[in-house]
Amino acid sequence: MRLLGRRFALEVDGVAEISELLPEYPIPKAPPFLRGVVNIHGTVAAVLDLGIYLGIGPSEKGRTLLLLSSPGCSLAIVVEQVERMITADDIGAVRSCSDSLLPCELLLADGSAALIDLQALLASVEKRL
Amino acid sequence: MDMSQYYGLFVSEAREHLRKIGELTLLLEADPTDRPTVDALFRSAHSIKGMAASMSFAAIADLAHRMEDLMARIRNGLPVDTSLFDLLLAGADQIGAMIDDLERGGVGVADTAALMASMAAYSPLESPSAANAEVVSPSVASHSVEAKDSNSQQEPVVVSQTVRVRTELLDTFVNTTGELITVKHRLEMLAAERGGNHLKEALRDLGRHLRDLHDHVMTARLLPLSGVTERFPRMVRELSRGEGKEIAFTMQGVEIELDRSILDVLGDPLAHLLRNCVDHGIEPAAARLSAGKPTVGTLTLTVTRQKDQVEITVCDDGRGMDPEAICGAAVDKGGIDREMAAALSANEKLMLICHAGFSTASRVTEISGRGVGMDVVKNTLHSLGGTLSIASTPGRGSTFLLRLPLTVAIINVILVGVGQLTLAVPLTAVMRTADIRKDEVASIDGKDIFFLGGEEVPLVPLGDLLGIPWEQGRGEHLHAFIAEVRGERVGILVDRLLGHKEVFVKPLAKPLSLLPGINGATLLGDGQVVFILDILHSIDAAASQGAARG
Repeated sequence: MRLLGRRFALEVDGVAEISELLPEYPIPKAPPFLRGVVNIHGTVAAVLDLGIYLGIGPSEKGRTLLLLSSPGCSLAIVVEQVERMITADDIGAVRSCSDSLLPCELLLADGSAALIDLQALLASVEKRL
Repeated sequence: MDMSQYYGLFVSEAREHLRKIGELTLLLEADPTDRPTVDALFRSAHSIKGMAASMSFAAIADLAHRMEDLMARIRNGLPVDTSLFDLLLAGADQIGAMIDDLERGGVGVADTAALMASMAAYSPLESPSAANAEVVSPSVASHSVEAKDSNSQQEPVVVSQTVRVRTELLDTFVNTTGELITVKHRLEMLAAERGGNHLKEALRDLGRHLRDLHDHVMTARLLPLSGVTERFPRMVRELSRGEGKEIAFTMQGVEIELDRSILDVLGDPLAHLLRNCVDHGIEPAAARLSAGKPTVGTLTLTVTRQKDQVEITVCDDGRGMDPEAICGAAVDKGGIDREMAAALSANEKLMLICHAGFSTASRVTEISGRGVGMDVVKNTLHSLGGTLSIASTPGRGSTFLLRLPLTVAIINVILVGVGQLTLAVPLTAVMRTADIRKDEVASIDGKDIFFLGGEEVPLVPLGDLLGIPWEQGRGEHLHAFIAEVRGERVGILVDRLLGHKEVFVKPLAKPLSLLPGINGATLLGDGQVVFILDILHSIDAAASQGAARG
């Protein structure tokens, strides 16, 4: 998936649903990285602005909503484009990084993608609230 | 035969019998001649033995067998003394621990040889000797009034008309009912747009059936408070022994039912209140005597139902609390400034004990160091939509009054708008709404107030509390709802008052559940997500931020 000119990857198990953008409602007293809440088939999910959270700028051009999947947690992120699914065979090599939220870079035939550590991301969001 | 499918049933039924043994032992202690209680104790031990044996949990069956033997000997005329109660309680505890072990995946075996030997060797002492004074001291006459009544006759054998239902299934019923109510709101909006009398009629029928369904589903979730309180007589007994105090503890009305989700979180706060009463409230016998009081202190837990609320009162006849001493301590600790403290009423000063980290106890005991603090008691109640109030007379005792809703999932709210935001405020937090002419607003020390029924009511903009821009009443009127905050009325200014609604509260998952000042969310007919505001928390948070800035 793409966001702010960068490419990210998430494990498939970490995504519950991919949806077009839904009406967002503001959250009182929320930090700027929580841009609102959405109602996805009756589930209330907070929308995380991943761009702001990672410090690469607000995700203003996002067109697609990814509802993340983790027990006891209801969080969605907005991305500009979901490109495709990849399998282990598509990954040429893995380069580890120092960022705990983006622990490694997957090297693919057409470039690379930073793998998001979903559990680390959720834990980090909780910690910052 | 594969018994694994009966495992869950064994655990829950054995636990129920252990609870009964705990309760009955205390009853027997209060009246050692009570034959039906002896019989009931025998039956419970016998049932555990039988169930454990059929599941091949030999160690549990053996220990239960010894308890059963012991009760058989009592039934056959062996006199009763205090060490018997200790043995029975120790046996129940030991079996409980073995069941815990089974649940953790263990084999449910423990070294029970010494305990079983003591049971086999039990013989009553001629008279309570000095050497055994500590164990024997009959310091507590703890019993539950209701439990005694229900055990004063043989339990009739009836064919059960009930089934056990997993609690997750009950949760699903509530959720589905809630979703149906949300769908009904949506249909009502569509009907309002498109019209049609038949449709409206059908919707009215749907509404009626949904209310019925909701009532029944909520009733199915109700459980008696005794599920939480039955451990208290024993807890008070042990705490008061440890403190060397004599306390008569009684409970009334614990058969009153509350929603399961409320009961789940109510145990610890109630236990904390009782511990406080034993530890700090009720004085040692000598001090009571010199104060002209009976040596045995009185501690009561009383439950009553008032319409759709339940009131729980915890009351002791101990030394009471001095509002001035509490206030002074709060000022010394820097929790409140002197000027603010002077303006507080006596009740408000007492409520200062609910501030985080507050304690006026001049000594720290094993008891007070444990569990949750008064701030957690207060916050738990608020999160359930309830309130806590305290009354106390120095030298006479203290009363803690907890008010709770019966159910939490579906509540009445008023909807308010501020800036872009629509919020729901539980009706229990709102005394009334008000449209205030701007020329009715006066300013005192830079703070806006208005008069309601001759009383000065401060006005606080909700937008300021939440840190969001608001329209500040563009028209001639300001809109407000009046909330009661610690006994004082406060006018909360909003941009729009959008009316009253019955809504289904959706509990929030992380990370939203971590945001302060929000107690869940609800969905309106058009799919809009509306947060349910914890107004008290919002005011407190704004006040503490203001204090931090000041």
